[in-house]
Amino acid sequence: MKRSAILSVLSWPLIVYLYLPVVVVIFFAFQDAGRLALPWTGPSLRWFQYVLSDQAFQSAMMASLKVGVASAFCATVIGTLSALAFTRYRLIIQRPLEILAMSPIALPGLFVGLSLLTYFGWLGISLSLFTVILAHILYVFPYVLIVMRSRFERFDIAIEEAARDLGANGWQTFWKVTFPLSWSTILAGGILAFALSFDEFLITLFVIGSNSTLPIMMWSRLRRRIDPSVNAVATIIFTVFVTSIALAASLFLLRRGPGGIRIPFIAGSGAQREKIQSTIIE
Amino acid sequence: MLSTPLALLVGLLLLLPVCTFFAYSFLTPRAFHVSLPLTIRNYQIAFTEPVYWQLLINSVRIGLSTAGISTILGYILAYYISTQEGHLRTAILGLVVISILGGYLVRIYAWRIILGAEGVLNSLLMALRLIDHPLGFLLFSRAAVVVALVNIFVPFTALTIFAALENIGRDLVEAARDLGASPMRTFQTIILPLTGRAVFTSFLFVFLLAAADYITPQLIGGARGAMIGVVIYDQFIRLGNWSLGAALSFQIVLVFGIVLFTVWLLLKALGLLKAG
Repeated sequence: MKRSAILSVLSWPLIVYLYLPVVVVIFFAFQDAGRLALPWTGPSLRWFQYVLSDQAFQSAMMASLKVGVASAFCATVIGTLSALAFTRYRLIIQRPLEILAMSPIALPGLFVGLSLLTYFGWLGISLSLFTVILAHILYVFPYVLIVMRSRFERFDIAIEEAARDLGANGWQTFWKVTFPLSWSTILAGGILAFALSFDEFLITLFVIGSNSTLPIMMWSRLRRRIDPSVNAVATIIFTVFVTSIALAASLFLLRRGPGGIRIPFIAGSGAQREKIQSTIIE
Repeated sequence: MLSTPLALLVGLLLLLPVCTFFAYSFLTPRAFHVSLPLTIRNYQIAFTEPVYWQLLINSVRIGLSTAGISTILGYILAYYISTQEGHLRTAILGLVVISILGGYLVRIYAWRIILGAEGVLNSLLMALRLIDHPLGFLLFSRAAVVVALVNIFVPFTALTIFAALENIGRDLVEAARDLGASPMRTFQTIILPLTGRAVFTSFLFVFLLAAADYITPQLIGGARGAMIGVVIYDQFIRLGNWSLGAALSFQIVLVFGIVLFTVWLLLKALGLLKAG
């Protein structure tokens, strides 16, 4: 009893400390005055109005959305294919491939960013949002793979085999059986990838050239002078990030029944469902 | 077949870029690009210039402090969650997961508002009449960098260690208790060794990501919190000496590798890395 009392006395202040920066930034985003100090004046939406009508913000927001959607889409497609490969076939090359693909999680952004910068320089590819998208695919891929694998490892392969026995080719099996059973996880992986891309900064700074995503725009502003609009930008990034993660988490948890797949959760129209179920029963 | 896109991704966006980066460190620098002939001059500069070593040592110190503190705090939090049950457990776990979502740059920047001369902390202390003048040393110090970095990494270490704690069979802990071991002894001989791997993994990740940070020192590090990452950043972005920047990068890879290997040996000698 005493031990757990000590633990909770230590843990709760720790949780407060974890939330402190984000709370402070959001708090000051609603401050009216043009400084970042107490006493706090407000609440005011002044900085949000200022930011939302700002041309630079709008183009940075568009850039972030473009990069996020494009890199999430590519990473999710590659992630799905790889997770299918990892859980179905055992090739010798897969283990090293997997370790390499996961490595960007532990590699410092500085290292990844500079590798790509020198590489693009060597190839003569000029820096643009396209190079940012390539970098983000590499960066978000490990997280997508973790999510996908957790789904496909629980997948009952017998259902796919049944489809194959009934004459479906690989493509048909995927679209008629595998995808309807795992779309929510695939979508969750995609949204997670989007959120991570939306927030990425350390790699992006090296490969973006003269463009700006939201974190890059924030960086260039907060280096110059005290600019309270930075807090509004930060709050917007934060909101998009949290909303996407919450969405991804709820989609991911939607399908996580204990073991195997659960037939009642098959997606799609009633007719589709009946067809798949009859396929399984046959 | 299915692995082809992954092989392309790893080959074209990871292996080739890292090879290019490595190759650059042996080339002759030109302004913002490189050219032949091959040379080891960049490494000679990187390894012999005292300033780079000072910054590297400072980075290793900040990395070690951040990784050590993050791992210990993460362990406390993880252990606390694992002792809770029901809704409270889910709630605290949720709080820790959500705290990851702040966003990297936002969370570093926030400490400027908190620790600055006109910042929240100084204003509070002045309002409480605990101090007369704002404390100038809060921001732009090594401690400020560690405080900001630990804040980012604790949720990750807590979740990694929590997963390891969950994998320990309850029967194992109960068996130790039944055999008369005190809670402390149970922790030392059963729980800690079985979570040793997670502890090392957490430490490794945090050390690598913290010691090679180049943004936190620029925003809140000041002169005392200067780190080697900033110098590398400058070589590429401001000074245009890409070869030297590349050589410095591979120098830190080597040094960080040695540091982590030492930590691994240390944990092994302490018996904290048993199979788990």
